[in-house]
Amino acid sequence: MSVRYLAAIVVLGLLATPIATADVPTTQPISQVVKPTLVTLDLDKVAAKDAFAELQKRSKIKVNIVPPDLLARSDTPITLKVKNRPWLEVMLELCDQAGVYPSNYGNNWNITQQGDRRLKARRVIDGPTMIVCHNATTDSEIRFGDAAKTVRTLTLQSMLFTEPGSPVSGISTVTDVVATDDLGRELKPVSTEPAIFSAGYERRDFTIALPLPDADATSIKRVSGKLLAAMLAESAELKIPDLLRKQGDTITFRSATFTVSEVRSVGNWYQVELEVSRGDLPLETFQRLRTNMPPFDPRAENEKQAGIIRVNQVQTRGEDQVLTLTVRPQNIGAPAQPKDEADKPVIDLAWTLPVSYRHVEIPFELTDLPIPR
Amino acid sequence: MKWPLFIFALTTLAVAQTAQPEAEQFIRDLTATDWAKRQQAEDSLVGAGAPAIDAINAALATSTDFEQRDRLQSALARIGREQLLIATPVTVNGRFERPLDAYTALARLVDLPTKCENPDAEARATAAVPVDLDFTDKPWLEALTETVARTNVNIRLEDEKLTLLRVPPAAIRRPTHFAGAISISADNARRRQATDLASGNTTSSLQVRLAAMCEPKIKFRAESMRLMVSKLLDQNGESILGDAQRVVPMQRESGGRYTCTLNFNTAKNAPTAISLIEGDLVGEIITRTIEARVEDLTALPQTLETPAGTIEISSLVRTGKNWSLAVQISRETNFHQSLANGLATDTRDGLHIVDQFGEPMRVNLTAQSMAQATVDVTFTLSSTNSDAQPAKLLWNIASQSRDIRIPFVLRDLPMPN
Repeated sequence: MSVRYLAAIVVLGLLATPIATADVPTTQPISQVVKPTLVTLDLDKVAAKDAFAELQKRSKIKVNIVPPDLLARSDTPITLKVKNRPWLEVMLELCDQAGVYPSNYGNNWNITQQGDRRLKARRVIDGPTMIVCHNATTDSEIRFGDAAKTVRTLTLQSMLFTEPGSPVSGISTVTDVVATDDLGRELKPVSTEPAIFSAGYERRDFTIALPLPDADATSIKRVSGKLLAAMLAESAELKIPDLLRKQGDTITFRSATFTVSEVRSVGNWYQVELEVSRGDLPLETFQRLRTNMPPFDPRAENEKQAGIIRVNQVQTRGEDQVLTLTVRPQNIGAPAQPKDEADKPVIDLAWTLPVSYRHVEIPFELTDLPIPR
Repeated sequence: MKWPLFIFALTTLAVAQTAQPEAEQFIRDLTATDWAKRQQAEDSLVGAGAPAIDAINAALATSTDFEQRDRLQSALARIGREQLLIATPVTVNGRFERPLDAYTALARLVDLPTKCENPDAEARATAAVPVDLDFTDKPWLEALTETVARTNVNIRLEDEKLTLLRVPPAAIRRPTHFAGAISISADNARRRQATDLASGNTTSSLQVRLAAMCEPKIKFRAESMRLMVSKLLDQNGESILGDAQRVVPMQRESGGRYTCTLNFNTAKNAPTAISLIEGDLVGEIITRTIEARVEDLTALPQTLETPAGTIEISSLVRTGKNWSLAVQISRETNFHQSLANGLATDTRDGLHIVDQFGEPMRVNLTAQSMAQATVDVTFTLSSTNSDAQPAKLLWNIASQSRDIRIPFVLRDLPMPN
């Protein structure tokens, strides 16, 4: 090989290096970021209540039983022998055997009599994540004046769940979708759409729409792809002690600022305007200040009292946001009294806000989904 | 470019010329002792049409007879309504060198400019493809539909323009019923089958989307339009009315286009075709508007007295990148309650705000609250120019409306399988 060729290879290699670096994806496969909680159980005809207690003891993951005596009512003995299986898989198996249903809201898993029956549908558990495809819909349409044939589409509705401790804040993209029908034809998706739900961190919905060129296929043999999602990495607590007496004060939270611009007395409660300048708050957090975990009063004795502070309204003001908080320190039904500064109760505000996210890829594969007829 | 070889004329409305003395006789007959004669006199006045309006107004100024006044007002309303629903007639005989020229000629008849959707649409519309039109007293909407078929250039009727589209129309026939200045047609039919993968249950539904198109002179009060279905036959001529909605509210899409979706309760024995849909389009068309004008929006509050009531432009506040405009309307007793209810949504046509540069600003309703005689409305004003500040306001507020009922029939709609 001549020197000229070698020089050319070196130059090309140098040119290629920064391109290759720039192409490194900023997302990581979820398996590299979060390890599933693995559970080993050996239950032989034990009561449902004891089985769930054993699961909680082994996994250190708490689920809420609603009502608390629900499992005591179940007289079905549970037999389950598993070794190093993901927590989601074991929890769902126990629910199936006990005849109860799990449901997921926010950061919590609840076990109830009714629950979310969609979780019984096509589910694929992979480590700390679970994809449930719960609905398949065929649309056939004639558009008068547009085309002389029927357009047919299959829409698959699915949900993503993660086990507690690895909360996903939202699916941003559904990508690399490949689908094949039972006749071996490849179907390119018409659209893929993540649905951003405001409440809760863990459950996320998405749809995949596939064209159905002919009426002869009866099922989708395989559909696979990847979800790109943001996963909560770190939270921090914002604190504004004695909120109602802080009008005009600015509280710095990392490099963001929260200014209490107005405190108004409205009958028996208060309205507080909070101007938020984003600073280094992640966009996901800044855009969801109303729908993130709500602020609370840490001095409150119980959950109900802690919920007296609510974000009622969010307005954009330039690059900042103005939040309107309602603070209801006493029973709304009590007669309104004129208040002066001394009458104001002491309300402390605490707010757990996500301050950093990781971006992860969650692969999925679903098989043998029927095409409704 | 060659000059188009066409003869182009707009015919005047063919209105029966009724002699003034004849109208006066009908008015006298409104006080006859025989009910049938009084009813016939009112119908005859309506039949006389616009030439009878002066005589009716003169009689209204002096009459003290309760029933005569009631019938005079009824006749006036019926004449106004029927005049409004008469289609604009089109008489065109000749050749246009380009599709755009044909559409421009048609749009001019109803005082609309034409606009191409984008450069691709413009290329299609200005291509040297001659269009021959031969219409004699053809209703405007029918002439427009026919021109779409002949030019192969599709259009969209919007608030203040006729837009020529990039995507051409295709061959399938759109079932349409023309009724003067309004047409009713079928947009699409959709069958949906959904399987709950947890239970394995499959549910089915069938929907037919219908659309009404109006000439620009007709404005419906927002949310007043309904489609009332009275007859529905499947491919075998069997009635399927029991499976479908009978009263369907229509939503405004853009300009003179309104749509609704007719839902069928079950698609278990869903029809393979609908051979007949028969019913009525009902709604309130706006027959009079009042104009409110503020020349300087920086000097608020301002109060505008109008025949329909008082309009107070209360405040204009900057909220982030947008502006918030608060308005209170105190309704007079003659201001139609339903118009007050629909005030905010009707403003899509009527409320115009321009900034200090004379550019129009976008107006969105953000809040509306109603009391016995007042309506409080808050609008959000926005612009792509971050320096824009609202400067002037012009508001055409609907102050009078008329109920209309238009029978329609659609035939032979294939349903998806």
